[in-house]
Parts: sequence; C-alpha cells; structure tokens
Amino acid sequence: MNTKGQALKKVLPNNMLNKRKGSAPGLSSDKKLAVRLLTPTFILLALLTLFPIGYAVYISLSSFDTFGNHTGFVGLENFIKTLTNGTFWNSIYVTLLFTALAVGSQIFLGFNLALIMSRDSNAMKYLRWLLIIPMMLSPLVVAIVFRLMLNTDMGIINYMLQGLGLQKINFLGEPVLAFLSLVVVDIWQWTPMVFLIILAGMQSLPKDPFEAANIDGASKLQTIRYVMIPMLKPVIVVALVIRTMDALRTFDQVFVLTQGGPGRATETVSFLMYRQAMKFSEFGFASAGLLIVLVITIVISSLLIKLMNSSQAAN
Amino acid sequence: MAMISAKQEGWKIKLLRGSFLTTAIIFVLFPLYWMVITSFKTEGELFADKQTFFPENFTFQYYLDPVEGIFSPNNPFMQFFLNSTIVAFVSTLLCLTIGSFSAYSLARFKMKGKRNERLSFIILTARMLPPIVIVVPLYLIMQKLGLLNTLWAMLIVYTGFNLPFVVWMLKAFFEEIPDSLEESAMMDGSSRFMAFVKIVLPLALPGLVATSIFTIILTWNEFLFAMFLLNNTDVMTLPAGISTFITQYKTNWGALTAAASMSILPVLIFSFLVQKHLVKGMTMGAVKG
Repeated sequence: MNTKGQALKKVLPNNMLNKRKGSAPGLSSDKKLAVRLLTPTFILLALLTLFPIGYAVYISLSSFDTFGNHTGFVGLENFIKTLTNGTFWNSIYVTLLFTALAVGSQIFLGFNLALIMSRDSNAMKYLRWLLIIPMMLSPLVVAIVFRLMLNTDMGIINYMLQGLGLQKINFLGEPVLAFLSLVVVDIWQWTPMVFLIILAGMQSLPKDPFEAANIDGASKLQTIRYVMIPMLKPVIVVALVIRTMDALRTFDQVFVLTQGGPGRATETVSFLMYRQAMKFSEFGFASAGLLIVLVITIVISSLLIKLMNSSQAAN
Repeated sequence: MAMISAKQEGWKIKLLRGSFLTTAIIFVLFPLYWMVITSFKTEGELFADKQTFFPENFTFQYYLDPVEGIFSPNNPFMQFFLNSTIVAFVSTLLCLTIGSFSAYSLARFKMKGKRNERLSFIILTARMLPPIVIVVPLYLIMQKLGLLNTLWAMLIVYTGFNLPFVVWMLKAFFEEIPDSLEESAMMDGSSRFMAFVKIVLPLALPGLVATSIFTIILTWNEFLFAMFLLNNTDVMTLPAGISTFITQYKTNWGALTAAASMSILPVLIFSFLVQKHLVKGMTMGAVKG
C-alpha cells in the first residue's frame, strides 16, 4: 500500500476502500487510476477542512492569555459559555431572519422577472446580461457603493428624499433600517442569480401541458399556479438551497456597511465570530462558537438537501 | 417560448410588464452608474448641497494624479491588482489541473454501489462549510507555518476551496462527452490516462474555459480569507486592499469609487464571455442553462 492510499484511507470511511478484493483482474488498473486521480483532491480538501476543524476542537477546549498564548485546558467551559450567551443567540436570530427575508424576496422577485423575460427576443438577450451584472461583482464592492448611496449627508438616496420634501434618514444608524438596508443590498446583488436559474428552468419546460391548459380554458394565473409552478419546483428548490447556504454566511456587506451595529442589530453569526476571533484571549470561546455554527450548518444543509432530493424525485 | 401567448394580452398587462421591467433595470443599473460617475467628480461637487447626476467638472484626478491617483506608483492599488491577478490565475490553473483529474474519475469510472455519488457528495460538503468556521483555525495554522502575509497562503486556500466547484462543473461537462471516443483511442494502444489528456480534455475545452473563468471570478471577489490572512499592503488582493481604503481615507470617496470601478472591469469582461454557461456555473451543474 503506498502512502497516497493510506492518506486517502484517512479521509474516506472504511467501507469505501476495501472493495478491491472481489473485482475482476482486468478492471483493477482502471480502479487504481480512478483512485489516483481522486487522491490529490481529497488530500487537499482534508488538509483545508478536517485539519482546521480538528484544530478548532483543540482550541475550543483550551484557554489563552491576552497575547494568544495557550495557558491550559478548560474542558467544555467555552461551549457552555457560548450556549448561554445572549449575544450568540442574537446573532443566530439576526442571521436566520436576514436569510428568510432576503432569500424569500429573491425567489419572489426572481420568479416574476423570469416570467416577464421568458420570451425569446434579441433585445431580451442583452437585457438579461445587464440584469445579471450584480451577481458577478464582489460583495465588498457592492457594499461600498451602497454605503456611498445611503450616506446621511451626501448620499443620493437622502438627496432624492429631500427633493420629495421628506426628512433625511440615517439608514445605517437605526437598528431596523440598518437591518433592512442589508436585506435590500442582498436582494440587489442576488435576485439576478435566482432569476437566471428560474429562467433557465422555464425555458426548458415542455410546451404540451401549457397548450392543454389553454384548450381547457384555464386563465393565465391558473396556468402559472397549477401547471408552471409545480413543474418548476425542482429548479426553484435548487435556487433556494444555493442562496440559503450563501446568505447564512453573510459577512462582507456587514463588514462594510454596519460593522454589526447599531448595537447588535445587524450582527450576523459570521461577523460575531470574526469579532471574537480578533480578541486573542477569546480564541477558545470563538472556536466553540464556530463548532456550534458548524453543527447548525450541517443540520440546515442536510434538511435542504433532503428537500432538493425529494422535489427532484417527485418529478 | 410562447407558453402564454402574447396576442391575448391586454394593454394593462403590457403596461404592468413594462413598468416592472423598467423599474428592475433602473434598480440594477443606477448603483453602478453612481459608482462610476462619483469617481469622476471633484471633491467640491461631491459634497455640494446640490447633487449632480452627471459630473459638471469632469476630473481624472482619482485615476491619474501623480500623488493620490490609483494608477500612480505611490498608490498601492496597482500592487493589489497585480496580487489579485497572480493569485487568481495561478490558483485557477492548479485547481483545474487537480480538479479535472477527479472530475474525470467521478464521471467515467463507475464504482460499485453508490460510491460515485457518495464521493461527489463528500467533495460538495467542503463547499457547504461556512468559511468563517475554517478561517479562524486556518489563521493559527498559517501563523505556525510562517505563511501569514504571503501569496502562498492564498494560493493554497483558493486552490482548495474552489476545488469542489471545479470538480462538479467539469464532471457535468465530461459527462456530456461520449466515452466511445476514448475507447477507440485505447483500442489503438494508448493508455486510459493518455486518452483522457489527448481526447477528452480537448473536447471539453469550452467547459474548461468556462470553469476557469468562473474560478477566476470567485477568487477575484473573495474577501474573508484575504482579510484574515493578509495584513500587509504588499501582498493584499483587491478586496482586502480596497477595504483598507475605507478606514484609511474615511471620506475619500473619489479614490474608493475609482478603485472599485477598476476592480470590477475584468469581472464584467469575463462574465460577458461565459454568459452561455452562467446557469450551469451558478448551480455547479445542477441546472443546465
């Protein structure tokens, strides 16, 4: 057994590798090649995921002084501290509410936009490229642009509000408005992606059911509700899953726009973890939080994947 | 596609459709327009009581000024741009090399049971991990290895974290190529690996190009890892570097928008090139575009 094989064994559950006994001799060289081609990927992924997570477990059980020096083991203290910490639960609440509002709006808007854009024409092709620009940009740059536009004194949005005879609004200084601003920025950047995925789904639907509905005298809304949406469900679920997983890790926009404030109104999990990790004495505390976040993410991801699989199986 | 035929539409629906579309276009384009024109405004105009929708005194000072312009040698912007370019291209090259092997293996060698799917799924889980969970311990590990503030750290991180994406994308592209072609090459005596290099890779070239461009864009835009692992302006990539402008020159919006505008230019060009594959790229091959 060479070293590559041993490394792979560490990464993979046992039952995946010990099958080579019973196979036909002619296939064994193919099998070797298959494993060899996979090995570099698994080694690199293990080094970059399993190793850091293992290290995080070690840190979470340790205590540190203010210079970041390891000072001893504290058992599960850091986990208990995190789980009984109101700040931690606040960040979970902020993240979940943010994700629900942002992704929900994106699915609604993206679906309607796709419905409007679904007819083929040359003009639509160029429009489509214009509409999807936001999702290609760095979230950091997007946040900078919105920070400029939302500025209380020289921002264009407040200037236009004044033009309408309204008061200036300190968008990023009020808890609810700051939170909603983040949601709007996320909608701006990611609705195009949902739109594009749903549009691709719409364009690949068969035509017969629509003609049948038309003959049966169904109205347009009825056709959309009872024919189109059920057929599109798998595609909508794919968009939902991808967007939810990304929204749960929102960091860049918070970093630029609000730094988690005012108060803790916009402090997402990722931002809270960043803030704690910046204080060296709280490495252990931060790592415990990260591992809890990891568990929550695994639970949410597997629920989403179940949803995705069942929606695809239904079709 | 004319599932709901256009003829039966009344003017009310047409109006509704038109206004929804117009609103969407303005909503999307205005922030971009505002960013670009702000970079051409003089400071006086920017902070004036009356905001202008087009610069009255067009200025290139934030780009070309020998002291504060982003293109001047005194400004770190060009260094950021260079670092981003190096990191994006080298890590993409590495990632595609490693990723194409694995993608080929998963696409072609049908292992017993559901092993293919399970292995693909293990690779995918790496994409689902929240980066913040990894970056804190990774910071400590890189510190021990002496790789903090080096582009090496970024090359390792980006090569690794883009691998799941690359493997899934290329797997989808390889599966579209009929395997009879490799088989006939193997009949002629070439090895399986050479058949992959000489037959499959050239055929999958459009897919390889599209995947590379996506990987370059992902790397170009990444902020969290860069911010944690790079603290020195000599090695910062664009997002990390631009973020330092926010605190350093708290109100220098001209320089900030100029840098932001320049940093998105390559992405716009690249995204135009991969338009055809966008949907596949965004869903890692789950939805065909």
